[in-house]
Amino acid sequence: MIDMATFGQTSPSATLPCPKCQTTITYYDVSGSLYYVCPNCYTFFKYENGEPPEILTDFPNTNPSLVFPIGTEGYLNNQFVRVVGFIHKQEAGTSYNWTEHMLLQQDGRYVQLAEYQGHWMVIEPTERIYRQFSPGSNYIDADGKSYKLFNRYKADILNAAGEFDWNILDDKTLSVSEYINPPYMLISEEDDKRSDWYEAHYISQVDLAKAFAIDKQSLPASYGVGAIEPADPEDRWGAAFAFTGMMLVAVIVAQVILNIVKPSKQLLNESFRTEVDSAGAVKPVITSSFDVAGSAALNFDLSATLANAWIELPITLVNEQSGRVYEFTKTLEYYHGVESGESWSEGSSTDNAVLSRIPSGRYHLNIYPAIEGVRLIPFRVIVEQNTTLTSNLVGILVLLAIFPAYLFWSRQSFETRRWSNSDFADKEE
Amino acid sequence: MLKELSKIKYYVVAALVALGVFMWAGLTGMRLMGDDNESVENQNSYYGNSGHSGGHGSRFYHK
Repeated sequence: MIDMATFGQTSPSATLPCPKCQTTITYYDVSGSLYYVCPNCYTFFKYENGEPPEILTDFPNTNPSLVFPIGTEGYLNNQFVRVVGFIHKQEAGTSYNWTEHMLLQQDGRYVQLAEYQGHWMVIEPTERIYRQFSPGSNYIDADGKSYKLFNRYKADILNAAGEFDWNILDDKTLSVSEYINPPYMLISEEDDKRSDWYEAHYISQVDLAKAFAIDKQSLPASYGVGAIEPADPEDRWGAAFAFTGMMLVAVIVAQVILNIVKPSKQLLNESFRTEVDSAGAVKPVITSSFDVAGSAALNFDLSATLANAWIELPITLVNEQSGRVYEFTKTLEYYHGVESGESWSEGSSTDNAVLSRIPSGRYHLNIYPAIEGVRLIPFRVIVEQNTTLTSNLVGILVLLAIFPAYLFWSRQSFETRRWSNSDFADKEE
Repeated sequence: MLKELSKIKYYVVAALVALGVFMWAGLTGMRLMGDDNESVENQNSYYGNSGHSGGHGSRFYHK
């Protein structure tokens, strides 16, 4: 061990020679590291207490393309960190592979930066021991959060660089279980000798780029959904849910205010009967006059006594001062009978119409009934002002629901895509 | 609270505008999704010049 030097904000470095090619290797955890990878010949060897180096294996003679080269400094978890190790792993028996950067913190502790498909998480060891909710279950309840089993695997080492305080080749024997509650993860590593727990949290590319003062574009592009990638990073759902609740109350209050300020009032309630003149035409009907206190919406309830008949009611609302008219036509038809022993009916003998923004004034209705034949059909017209505009109420409720519904759908879709990457999706809930 | 709402500021603005329109429509008796008025010459129609087009041969009539 030679040449100790202090630079940057993290621990001082030292150097040692590669036992195979004699390349000088710089390492940073001077008191902790025991295992090293030569950056020149990729020999993995153990060097401890001045004893002769022990060569353990040779990694592929390829220079792994490190996003954060060994020695890179950054600022994470409120302290300076330095990249001191790199491992490229692959899930045993599959082609799924990911990278892990070992970061030596200023306080001498390690954290790990793991990347899969462009999604990053910070992993820290913990002294806590987590237990499944019940034996055989795939849940862990901790600190009020429920973590669900997402993945369980063993890993092969494809490549490595830098220095380590443990023999990374032993990782192949570990059974790893990952429990998620995005953006958090609990990781269990166990074999016959030990059982360790780690806590992880998602880190966005923006935050990561900021932590290492690099351009975000230099990070691998992300694709798919990360295991603990937050579905709603800004928690817009929570804010939208609360705000929508307040708005629903506001709409109800507004409707109550409208009902008080502009109470509904019946203006006309008259019954008529169709009459045919000498020429065989149905006589028009003129209603009594009534006063509208506008601007108001008028509701017209129409009903007729129909038995296998129809009546068409073209109605003109006439302002007796200005002459302004409003027209609408409703057809009432109702048929019924018995066929093959079963009674049937279709149509309706009632209907309604709404005219909106009717100005103040005195009005009457001209009604021009049309019927089939010369039947005498009784019908009734009821006019009400300031009727509750249900469609307005429904409209604003639908409008208010669109964004929360979109967020809900988006989250559900996101979770579906997340769990499509898990072998334990069908065991969720 | 404001920090929370800032996450959904566009939704907040849209919702408040919608509430305002709802109140305005309620006060003026406006049905926002259209009403049943079929009168095309509605704005300046007076006695006698509002033709009726009843489908079964009715005639226009007024007081």
